[in-house]
Parts: sequence; C-alpha cells; structure tokens
Amino acid sequence: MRSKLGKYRTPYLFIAPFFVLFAAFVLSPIVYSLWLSLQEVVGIYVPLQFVGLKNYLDLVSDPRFLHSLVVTFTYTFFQVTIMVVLAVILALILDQRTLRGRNVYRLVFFFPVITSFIVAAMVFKLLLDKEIGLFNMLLRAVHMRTHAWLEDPTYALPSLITIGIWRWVGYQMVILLAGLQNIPAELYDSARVDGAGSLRIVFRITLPLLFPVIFFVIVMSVIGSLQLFDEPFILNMHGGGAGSGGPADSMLSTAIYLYQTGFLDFRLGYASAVGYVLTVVILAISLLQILTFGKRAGFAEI
Amino acid sequence: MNERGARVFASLTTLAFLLCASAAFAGGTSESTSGKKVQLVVWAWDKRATDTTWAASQEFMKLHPNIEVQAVNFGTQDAHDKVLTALVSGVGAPDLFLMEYWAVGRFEAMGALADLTDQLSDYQANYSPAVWALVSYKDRVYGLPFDGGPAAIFYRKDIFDNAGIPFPTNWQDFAAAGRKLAANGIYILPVQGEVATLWLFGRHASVSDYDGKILFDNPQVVDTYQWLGDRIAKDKSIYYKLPWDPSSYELIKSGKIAAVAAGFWYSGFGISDLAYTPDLSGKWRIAGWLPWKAGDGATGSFLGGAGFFVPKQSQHVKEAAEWMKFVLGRPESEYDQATKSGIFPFQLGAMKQLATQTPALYGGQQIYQTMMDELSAAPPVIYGPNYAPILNALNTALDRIALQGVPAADAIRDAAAQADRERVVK
Amino acid sequence: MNGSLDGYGGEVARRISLYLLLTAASIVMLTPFYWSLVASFKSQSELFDLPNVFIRQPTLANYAQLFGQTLFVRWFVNSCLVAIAYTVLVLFFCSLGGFAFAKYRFPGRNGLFIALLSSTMIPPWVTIIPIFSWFSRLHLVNSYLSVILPGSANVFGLFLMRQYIQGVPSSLLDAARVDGCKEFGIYARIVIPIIAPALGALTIFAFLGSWNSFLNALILLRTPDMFTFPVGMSSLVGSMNPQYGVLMACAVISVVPTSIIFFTMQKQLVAGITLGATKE
Repeated sequence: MRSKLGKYRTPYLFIAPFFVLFAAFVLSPIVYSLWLSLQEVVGIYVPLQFVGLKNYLDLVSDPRFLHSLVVTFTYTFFQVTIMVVLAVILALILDQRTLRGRNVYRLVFFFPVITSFIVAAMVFKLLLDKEIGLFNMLLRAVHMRTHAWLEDPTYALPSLITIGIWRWVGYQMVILLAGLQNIPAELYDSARVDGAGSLRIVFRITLPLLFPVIFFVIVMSVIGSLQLFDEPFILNMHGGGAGSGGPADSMLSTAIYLYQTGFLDFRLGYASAVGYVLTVVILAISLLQILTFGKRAGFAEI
Repeated sequence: MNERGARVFASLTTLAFLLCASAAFAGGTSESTSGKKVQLVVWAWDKRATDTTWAASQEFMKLHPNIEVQAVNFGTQDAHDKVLTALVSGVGAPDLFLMEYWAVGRFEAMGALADLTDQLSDYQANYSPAVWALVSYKDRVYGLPFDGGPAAIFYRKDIFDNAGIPFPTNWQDFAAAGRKLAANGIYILPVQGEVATLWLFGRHASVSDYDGKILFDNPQVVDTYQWLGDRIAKDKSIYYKLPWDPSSYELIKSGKIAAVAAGFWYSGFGISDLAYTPDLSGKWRIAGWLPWKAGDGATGSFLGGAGFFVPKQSQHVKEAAEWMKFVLGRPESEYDQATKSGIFPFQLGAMKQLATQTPALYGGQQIYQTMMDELSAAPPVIYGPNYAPILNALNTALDRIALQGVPAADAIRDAAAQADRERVVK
Repeated sequence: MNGSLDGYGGEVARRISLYLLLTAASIVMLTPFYWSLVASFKSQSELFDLPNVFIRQPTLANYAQLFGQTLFVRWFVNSCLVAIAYTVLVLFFCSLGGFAFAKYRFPGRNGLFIALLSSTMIPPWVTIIPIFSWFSRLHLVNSYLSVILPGSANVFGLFLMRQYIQGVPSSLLDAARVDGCKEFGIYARIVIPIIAPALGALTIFAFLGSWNSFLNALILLRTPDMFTFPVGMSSLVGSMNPQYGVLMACAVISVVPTSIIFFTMQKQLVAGITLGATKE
C-alpha cells in the first residue's frame, strides 16, 4: 500500500496545487451553491431558512426567468450562427496565399478581441444612440429610417447580437485559419486536376475536412454566449440602472437575472437556483452537441 | 521525494505569503486605526456630497479632536448596494452612508440600520412632515436628510413665449401644449424610468405599504401610465429618455427640449452644469408640481434625494449621530450647502433664509419660495421595503406601453405580479 | 454567373471586389476604435456636434481630468498588480499540473481531467455567491487576494499545457532521470525551457483574462481605491453625470497595455488560440 502510494506521489503532488485551488474556488462553490439553492436569505442578522425545492418550483412558474431563457437562447442561436458563418467565410478568404495584405486584414479582424468588453460596450452605446450616435447620423445622411437601436425593444437584442459578433468573429477566424493550415495541399491539387471549380472544392473538400474545427468553435461559442452578461450589464447601466434587463427586459439574459436576484435583491437562494438551472442547461446543450456531431468531429479522443 | 515536495510547497507558500502581504498592504480602509482616535468612515456616491459635507466635517473634527472623519466617494449610485453587500458579509461597512430615501424601507426590513430615534427625534420640528417621513420608518428615526428631491418643472420661458403658449396649470393642458410644441419639432419633456413615478406620487397614488405589500395595480396608476405612454408614442411630445441622459443634455442645449420634470437636485448638475450653455442663463423658470386636471387642488411630488444613515454594524453609532447633528442638523450648515452647491435645503429654518434669493440662471425668480410652496402641498411618500423590484417592474411596464403599444392595464397588471413575485420582503 | 467575365478580366474584377469587401469590413471593425480615439480628444461640448467624425479643436482636457480627478492611476496599478500575480500563479500551477497529466500515469487521471474540462461549462455566476461568502468569512473581501485566487485554477491553461507537454519526447525526460535528475528538477530544468513558447501564449491569455475580468471584481471589490480598471471604469459610466470624453480617454489608455502585448506576442497568441482546437 505504502509503496503504491509512493509510486504515484509525484504526479499527485504536481497536480495538488492546481487541485487545491480548483477545489476551493470551483468545486466547493458548486456544492455550496446547490445547498444555498435550497435556502432563502431572510435578513442580515437572521440565519438562512431551509425551503427545500421551493426555489426550483418557483422558477418553473417565473415568467421573467423563462423570458430570460428565451432571450439567452435567441441571442446564442443568432450570434453563434452568424458569427461562425462569417468567420468561416473570412478564414477561407484570408487563407488565400495570393491575397495581398492578408496579415493586415487578420490583425484588423482580431483587434476587437483584445479590447475590454466594457470599453466596447461603452463605445457602442454612444455610436448607436438615437439622437447623437454616429450610426443614425450616417443613416440620416442617406435618408434612411433611424431607430433607437439600444432603447427600442425590437432592435435591442439584434444590436446586442451584432456587438457580440463584432467582438468575437476575429477570434473564431484565427482558430479556423489554423485548421485550414492542417489540410494537406495535395488534396486540393488532386481535386483541381479532376477539374473541380473552386466553390466545389470548398464544399466537397475544405468544409468537410474543417468540420472538426468548426464544431469545436461552435461548441465553445455556444458555451460562451449562454453565459451572456458583461455587454448588457454595461449597456443598460445608465438608463434603467445597473443590472437592468434593458428596454422592456429585451436584454434580460439569464445571467443578468441572476445578478438582479442575487446582488440587487439579495435573494441569494433563489439566485443560486437560477445559476444551477443555467448550468444544467449549458451542460445538456453541450452534451447534446457532442453526442450528435461529436463522433464525426473526432471529439471522442480529447 | 521529500526534498522535491518540500521545494514545491516552499515556492507555494512563498507565493501565498507574497500575495497575502500585498493584500494586507492595500487592505480595507476602515480597518486601520491611528492611535486612539475614533475613525468615522463616511460613504457617498457623489463628489458633491463629500465636498459639501467636508467643510462642516472639518469644523466637527475641531470640536471633537478624538474623532477623525474619513470620506469616501463611490462615484456610482449602487453605493448603498455595496453597503448591503458589506453588511451581509459582516465586514467593511462604513459608519455613515448616503442612501436614497427609497432604499430606507429595504434596509430597515433587513435589520441593517441603527435606530437613532433617541438621538434625533428632537430634530423632527425642523422639517416638514413629508420630509421627516423620508428618514423615518414605522415611527423610528434612522437618519437626517442631506439633499431633497421635491418635484420641480424646469422650463424655458422663451420657448413657451415664442410658441404663444402660456405655461400650463395642469397636466392635461400640459399635454395640449406638448402637441403644439411637437408640431414645431420640440419635445416638451424627457421622461423615462423612475421619472415617471413623479406623476404617481403627484396624484397621491401608493405603490406599496410599509410592510411591502404591492399596491400599484389600481386604475389611477394605469391611467397615469397610459397618459404618459400616449404622450410618448402618439403625441411624440415626450422624449423617451432620462433627463440626465447625455442626449437629453444635447437636446436641451440646442433648444429641442422645452422643459424638464425632475427632483430639484436636477438644478445642481443638470440645468447649471451639464445642460448649461451661457446663452440659456436667465431663460429658465421653475414651477412646482402641477395638478392632474383643471379644478384639482395644489399638489407636490418627490423624486430621489438622499440622506445619511448609520448601519447597525458600526462601532461608533454615538459619534455618527453627533456628526449628523452637526453637519446636517444645523440650519446654518444647510444654508451653506445650498448657497455653495445648489443643494435644496430641507430644514424649514434654512428654507426661510433662502426664500428671497433670486439666482440669475432663473431670471430673478424666487425659486426657493416656489419649492417651499410645493413642499407644503407634498404628500408623504411610502416607498416600502420592496421599492427596487417595484421600480424595475414599473420601468418595464412603461417600456411596454410606450414602445410596444401594450395597453397600460395589461402592462401594469403584469408589473404588479412581477413585483409581487420578486418581493425582497414577503 | 462568371461566364461573361471569363478569364483574366473576370479574375481582376473578382479580386477588386474582394478587396473592396474586405476593406469595407475592416472599416466597420475599426470604426469604434477610431471614434473613441477621436472622442477622447474632444471637449464635452464638441463631443456630440455633428458631424462628429473629426476633431475641430483637439484638447487634452479629458486626459488631464482622467489623471487628475479620478482614481484612474490607482485602478491601473491595481489591475497591473492583480494581473501579474494572477499570471504567475496560473503559469506555475498549470504547467506543473499539465506536466503531471501529460507525462505520468496515475489512478483517476482521465476521470479528473474530464471533470476539470466539464467544469468550464459552469457559468461563473454559480460560483460567485459562495466565493463571496468564503471571502467575507475570511475577512478578505475587498482585497487583492479575492480577485487573484478564484480564477487561478485555470482549466483552459491546464489543458493548453497538457496538450503542449504531450509533444515533448519522453526519451528526453528518461535520459534526465538516468542522469539522476529528480522529478521536480525534470520539470524545472527540462520541461519548462522546452515549453517556453506555450508559456508565452498562456502568459498573454492569463494577463488578458485578468485585465478584462469584471464579474468577480465587481462583487468582491468595494472601495474605489481597490477597484481594478474595468470596475473603476464602470463606476465612471454609472455615475449620474458621466463625462464621455473622460471615459473615452480611459478606453484609449486601457487598450495600450493589451495592444503592446498583442503586437509583440502575436505569434504565441495565435499558437495558443489554435493549439486546443486543431490538435488531433
């Protein structure tokens, strides 16, 4: 027994520091959260009150929570779909060796990734303002209808999606470019010999071979988008107050709702339940994706 | 093996020590104690608040050499949310903090405030009943007012004169005036979010009782919000943004907004600062809150405003109360603040002293007198402990009425159900 | 479609339209940066004058106000301290852990690794409430530690390190063992130098991640003197009278450190981004 433990001592020691932190700041909070989701905070000097599954039962009939899920899913579906399509197109274009200045273009598209979201959100808030924003000014110049892009419930979510795409499309493009680099050049050559046109090559050879990378990009983006918080938080800081859900709650993502319940109303138990349901949703969606397309994408071997 | 492990842990501990040291180095502001002096930590979110109370604080320190006042300016209005976070976590709460009146009920319900009834009840006579109601709750006193938001309508006399419209005397006439101005491409008001509650309190509508019961699902509130929604969506005479939104400032400066409805404090940073251009000076006037329709009696309303309060956690409740009495309780120090930074004084004594003043910005009008008249007609406002979810729900309701054409009856009913579900105090 | 534009002429037309398209897209991508740069040199009154794409009277007043009247310098220093400490922790823990996962066999290895990977799907909001609770009990709310430690078990970093170290030939490590090198010595003297490029990539990620991180800091930091840069900036946004010129100045300066890192370490950054995705 002793010798066996001794044999594995080194790797365990090596992962120990990481694991201690992981246990302290990821694992145990997850467990604590589960416990907290069964309680309710009553007052500052009053102990927590055990309420069982009440918080979860309340969630099912909470229209704002359900609405927040709709907002989150809508955002995720459109943001990820449009962004990935654009990123694939950009990667295919910028992968062409004959294209001059392609490194400059790559830099340009990547640049938003390194900006802090708060800076991005702030600038967009001013650019998209109804009266004084640059965007509406341009629209007026060409006699098109202007809108309150961030204050009108119809346009608020689409604007948010656009900002999300602007921010992350370059990041996904870089991953896809790397994936393209791994496709052997001979495959293209032999296809060309067979007389295939360039569009045909893209659809028959490039995209299928790139699928594992595209799949990776989709899975990761979906996880990120479902956690949407930063941008709507800053965009709505001024009008409706910090943590508001935007015009007519049109930007109320589940994470924003969690913030409202937990840190503005101090209903910590309910907020934990919101967080737990969101986690389960994200896990389920990721698993679903991996189970349906994972094999084809070679996701089995990590 | 041992040696290796030791090395790993040695480096780990060193790191941890370094980090802890750096953390301790910059640690909390309230923990440090210099000698035997009592440290009073004061939190406010507005530079104006820390600046104006600072002069009085220094005098206070001279009178009480054993007390050192430390003022921290937060910058954001969620300062009192941070106080609540501090209280929940049990550390780092200040001894005094500035809090909007609407939050008093919530803090009281959570048992977060020190009861200052014994120290402060003598001061009740200095304030009008509606004002005293803002710092007390269920007959207990928790603080003193710092600035006040008696409702005010700031309007450009020249714009109304040019359009040949006499300044309206009730809100129905005001709507008609708005339609005329809208025909000239001028908005009559910027209104959004919490500003809309001015009309509710002006009509003496209750949103909640002291125990947190939601009361705003009634015909009066529906009627008021439908009226506002129609002005925004049908007449297009109300600009649907907050008066302190940057675009509102721009429209005010360029003469595209004729009036602003807000608390009196808007004079301090809006009219005289962010929406100010020299050629607007003297063109502004102030009116008190208008009656709802012709024939209704005089009324008043409130928006915002804040007082200083003491968290129960403070170790220096007695000293904090002394600070309040000295810095906020004396008419002369309030008078000082009003003349220096345009903060509306709430004490009857200070108000009387100011009544004859005629700031140039308002073309020689006795604005404090106008506000005093308004205040005497103002009803006491009950925010209750659940005002945060109430306001959130009402804001969403107005969005739905004004932007999505939802009938007010439906929007208000949904909002009441939402606020009821999200009650902090059940 | 291309029938009429066959041959060389068609190719040229295609190229030109491609460049036009890319350039237009680039302008869209860069407009926000350009606008904030321009706005930071404008006075508040000129900020929203139309047309607002050019500066008529450049002023440094916003920058002066940023440095003189806000705690910006303090926030900047806080952010640097936090980001550096965080990066050091992540580099050390992830490379050591990644080494163990890549080069040792031990019971529970795969299970642990999968558990770690799936934890990345958990939104940070689930953990923030307990973390807040932990730190308040330790009386460490509003300390640097409270924003450094929680994210430092960086699973992405561990994954990156493991992927890279798997590519290090085991024969090298065995040779060192034969020479009498202890296990930690192998890590410190052999593995670390070989994986230097990957460490470079992780440095950037960790630094950028910490620099831009908001949630934890928003909840855990409470007094303005302890704010990191994003929280400080959000406090400027949230005030009743935001000075937009000052905010834009703040925005411009905030991009400087990340841009420097980005432009000097581009190669490592790209290598880091792509390593996880394209390694088979």
